[in-house]
Amino acid sequence: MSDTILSGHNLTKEFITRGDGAFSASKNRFRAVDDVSFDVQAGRTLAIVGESGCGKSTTARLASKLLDMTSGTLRFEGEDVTIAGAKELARFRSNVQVVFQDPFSSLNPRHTVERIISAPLDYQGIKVPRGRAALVRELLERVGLNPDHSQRYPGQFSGGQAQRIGIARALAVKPKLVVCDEAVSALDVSVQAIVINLLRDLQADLGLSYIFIAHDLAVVRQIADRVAVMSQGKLVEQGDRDEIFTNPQHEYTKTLLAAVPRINPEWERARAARMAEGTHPDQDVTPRARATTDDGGQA
Amino acid sequence: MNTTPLLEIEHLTITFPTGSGPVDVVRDLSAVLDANRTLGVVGESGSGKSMTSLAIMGLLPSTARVSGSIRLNGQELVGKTDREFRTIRGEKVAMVFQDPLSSLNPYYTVGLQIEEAYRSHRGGSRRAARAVVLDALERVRIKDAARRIDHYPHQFSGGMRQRIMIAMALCLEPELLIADEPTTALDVTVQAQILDLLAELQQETGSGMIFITHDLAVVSQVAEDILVMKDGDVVERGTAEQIFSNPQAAYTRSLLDALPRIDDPFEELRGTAR
Amino acid sequence: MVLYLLRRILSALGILLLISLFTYAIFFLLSPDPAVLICGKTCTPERIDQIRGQLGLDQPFWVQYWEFLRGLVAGRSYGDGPSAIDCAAPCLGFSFQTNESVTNMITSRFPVSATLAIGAAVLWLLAGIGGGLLSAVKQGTWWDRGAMMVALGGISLPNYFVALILQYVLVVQLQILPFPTAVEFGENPLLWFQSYLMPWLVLAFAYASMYARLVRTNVIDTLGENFMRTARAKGLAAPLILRRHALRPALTPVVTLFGMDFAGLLGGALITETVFGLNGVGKLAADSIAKNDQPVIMGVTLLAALFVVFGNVIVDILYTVLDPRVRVTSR
Repeated sequence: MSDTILSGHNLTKEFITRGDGAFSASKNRFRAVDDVSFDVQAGRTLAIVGESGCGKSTTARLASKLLDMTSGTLRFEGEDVTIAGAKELARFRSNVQVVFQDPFSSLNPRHTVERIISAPLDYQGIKVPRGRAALVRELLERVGLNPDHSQRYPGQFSGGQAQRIGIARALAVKPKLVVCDEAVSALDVSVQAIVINLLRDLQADLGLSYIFIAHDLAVVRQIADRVAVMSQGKLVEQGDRDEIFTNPQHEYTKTLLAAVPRINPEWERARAARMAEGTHPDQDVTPRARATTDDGGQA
Repeated sequence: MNTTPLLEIEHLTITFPTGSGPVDVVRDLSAVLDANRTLGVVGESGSGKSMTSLAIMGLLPSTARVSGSIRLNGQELVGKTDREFRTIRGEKVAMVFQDPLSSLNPYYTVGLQIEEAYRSHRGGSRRAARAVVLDALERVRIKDAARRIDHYPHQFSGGMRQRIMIAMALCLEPELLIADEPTTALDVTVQAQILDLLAELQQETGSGMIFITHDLAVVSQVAEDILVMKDGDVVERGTAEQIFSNPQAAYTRSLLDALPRIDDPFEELRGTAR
Repeated sequence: MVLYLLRRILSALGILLLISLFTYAIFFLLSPDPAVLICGKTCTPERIDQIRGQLGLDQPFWVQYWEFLRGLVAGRSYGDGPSAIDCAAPCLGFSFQTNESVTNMITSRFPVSATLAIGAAVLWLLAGIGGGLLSAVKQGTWWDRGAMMVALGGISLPNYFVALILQYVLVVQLQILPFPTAVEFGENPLLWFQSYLMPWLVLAFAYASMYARLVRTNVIDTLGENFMRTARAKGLAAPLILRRHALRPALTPVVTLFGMDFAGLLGGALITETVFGLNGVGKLAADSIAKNDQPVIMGVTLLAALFVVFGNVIVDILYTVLDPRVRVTSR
C-alpha cells in the first residue's frame, strides 16, 4: 500500500449568508462542507463526485488551501498544515497545485504562455539554473504542446490546448499533488479524452497524486482509484473505484449511478464485435484541421 | 396515410460573412422528420448543430445567408420574413434552450411568460389564458402550480426552470419541438427526469422532436434517427442502432472511441489529435 | 420590510452625522477666524473676543460641534441675556456677511433650484431614454451615429460653454427668447417659462447625453440576452418584445442613476445657476464660498448631503419594487 500524501480530517466549511431577500436582517450559517474526511495516496487519484452545490468544489478548495476551513485538520505528508504561516504556505503551494475548470478564464489573456507557466516559480521564489525558457519548453513538450509556442497568448489556443497550458503551469513547481477542479468538464469529448490520457500519463511518469473533482461519473470511472461521493455537504460514501461503481452501498450513490445515461449495451457489444472482427480497421482517423478557436469548450 | 412529412430539410446551407470571407456554418444538410419521431442532432462545439434549429425558427442573425429548403408540413420556411415567421414560432414550432435561467426573463413571473406566449397566438382573456398556463404547469409536474404560477424564475431550481420552459413550449401544442441541449446545464439526476418528461409528453401530444446535444449517451436514449455533424457537415446519418452499433464515418467512430463509459474502465481512451 | 427601512434610515442618518462632523472639522481647522471676518477691518481685539464669546468660538471643538448639532435639532440662542439672538430649529447659524438666518436663506432659494431640477429632469429623461432607445434599436445607422456624436458633445462640453452658445443663438441671434430674468410664476407665467427654458436645456443636455449613452448600451446588452431569444421563439410581436422584455431590464439601472443625479441637483446646480443668474441654492453656495461665509457653506453642504443620502435610500427601496430578484424570496 502506498503512503498517504494528503489527508483531511473532519473538514468543515461554513459560509455566513445574508437571509433570504433584501429585507431580512438575519444571518444564516450555511455548511458547504460538513465533516468530510479523506486520504489521498501517493501516486493515486481520489475523485470527489456529486451534483452541483454538493460541496465538492469547496472541498477541493479546502484541500488546496485556497480557502480556510471552519474546523478540521489537513495534513500533508503527515505534517499538520491546517494553520500555515507564509513560509509553510509557500512550501505547501509548491507541493499542491490546482487546475481549474475554465481554461480561458484561469489564464491571463495578456500574458504569454511562458510568463503564465513560469509565474508559480516567481511566487515560490524558485530559481531555475538552466533558465526559465528551457523549463517552459520542456513543460510544453511534456503536456503535448509545441515548445515553439511559448511566446503566444492564451487566445491563440483551443480549449483543449489552453487546459494543457493550465496543467503545464501546475507542473512548473514540481508538485506532488494536483487538484483538478472539473478540469475536463468544459471540453468536447474528443479533447476531453486527450486531456484525461495526458493526466494519466503524467501520473505514471511523475508519480503525481490527484484530487479529481467531477460531476461526470463516466470520466471518473476512467481516472479514479478511489471515489468519494458527496451530497449536501456530506460525504455519503467512499471506496475503491470499482467497488463504488459496481456495488454502491448508499442510496444516493445508487440513484446517481442509475441516472447516468448509457448507450444500449447491445449496440455497444455489436460495435465491439465488429471492431474485433476488424470490419472497420481503425485507420488513422484525423478530422479535418480546424481553426484553433472553435473547440473552445461549451458552456 | 399522410405522405407529407412533418419536416423536410433539403440542401440547407447557412453562411455567415466574416472578416476573412464567408464561412459555411452548415453545409448541404438534408433531413426528414415525421410526427411522433425524434431526430437527434449530435456534434461537438462549432459543428453547426444549433444553427440548424435557429434556421427552422427563423432566429438566425440577419447577416446569415440561408439557402436550400426547409418545409414544415409542405410549407416553405426559407425566405419567410420575420413577421411571417411569427405565426410559425411558438404556434407550430417551439423551442427549449440550454440554460433555463438566462432563457427566462428575471423581471416577470413564470405565469406571465407562459401566458404571453399563449395569448399572442390565441388571444382571449388573461383569465382564460391563466387556466391554460396552469394546465401546462401541471402537465410538466410543477407541484403546487396554482401558487407557483406567480413566482419568478429565480425562485425555482434548475430542473424546475427547464420544466417551465417546456410548459411554455407545450402550451400551444406545437407540431415540432426543438430541444437544444435541454439537459446540458442540469445535474445528472435532474437530466434523467427531464428526459423522461420529454418522452412522456411526446407520447401524449404526438409531436415531432429535434433533440440537439453534444452528449452521445443522451442522444442514444432519446432519438430514433440521428445526424452526426462536424464543422457544418453531416458526416453520418442513420437510426440510433446503426450509428451506435455500426458507425460508418471515421468521425463517428472516433467520437465513440473517445467517450468515457461508466460501466467499464478502458485502459486508454482514444482522443482525436488536435 | 419595516425593519429593513428602519435600518436603512438609521444608517443614512449615521452617514449624515459623519458628513456633518467632517465638514464642521474642515471649516474649524482650515478657515480663518470667523470673528475677524465678522468684525471687519476696523476692529479691536476686545471686539473680536466679544464676538468669539457670542458665537461660542472660544469653546473647544467638540463643544462647538455639539452646540451646532443641538441647534440643528432643537434650536439654540447665541449670547446671553437681552442681547441673545434666538435661532429656531433647524438652526444653521447666521451668515457672517448679512446676518441673515442660514436656514431662511436656503429655504427661500430652494424653490428656484427645485424648479430647475424638476424641469431639467423631465427634459433629460425624455430625451435621454427616447434617444438611447432609438439608437439601440437603430444600432449602426446614421441616426445612431449622429445621436451618439451629439451625446459625446453633451458629455464633454462644459455647462457654461453650452450655456453661452445657447444664449448667443437663442437670445442674441434668433431672438426667440428674452434674456432670462428672475420672475415669479404668478407674475408672468410665459416669461417665467422662457426664463427657465435655457437653464433647463443646458442642464438637461449634459444629463440627457449621459443617459442616452447608458440606455443605448443597456438596451443593446438586453437585446443580446437569452430571454430575448426566448421571447422571439415564442412568436411575440416585435413591439411587445421591446416594450416588455427589453425595456424593463434596460431601464432599471437608470433608476439608480436618476435618483442620485436628481438628488444631487436638488442641492443646487452651481454652474448653471451662476451662469444664468438664477438665485438658487447652487448660486448661494458659489457666493458664500467666494466670501468665505462659513455658516452658509456648512448649510448648503449639509443640504446637498441630505438629498444625496436620502436619494440613495429611496433608490434602494425603489429597486426592491422594480427588480423581483431583490425582493423577499422566502415563501
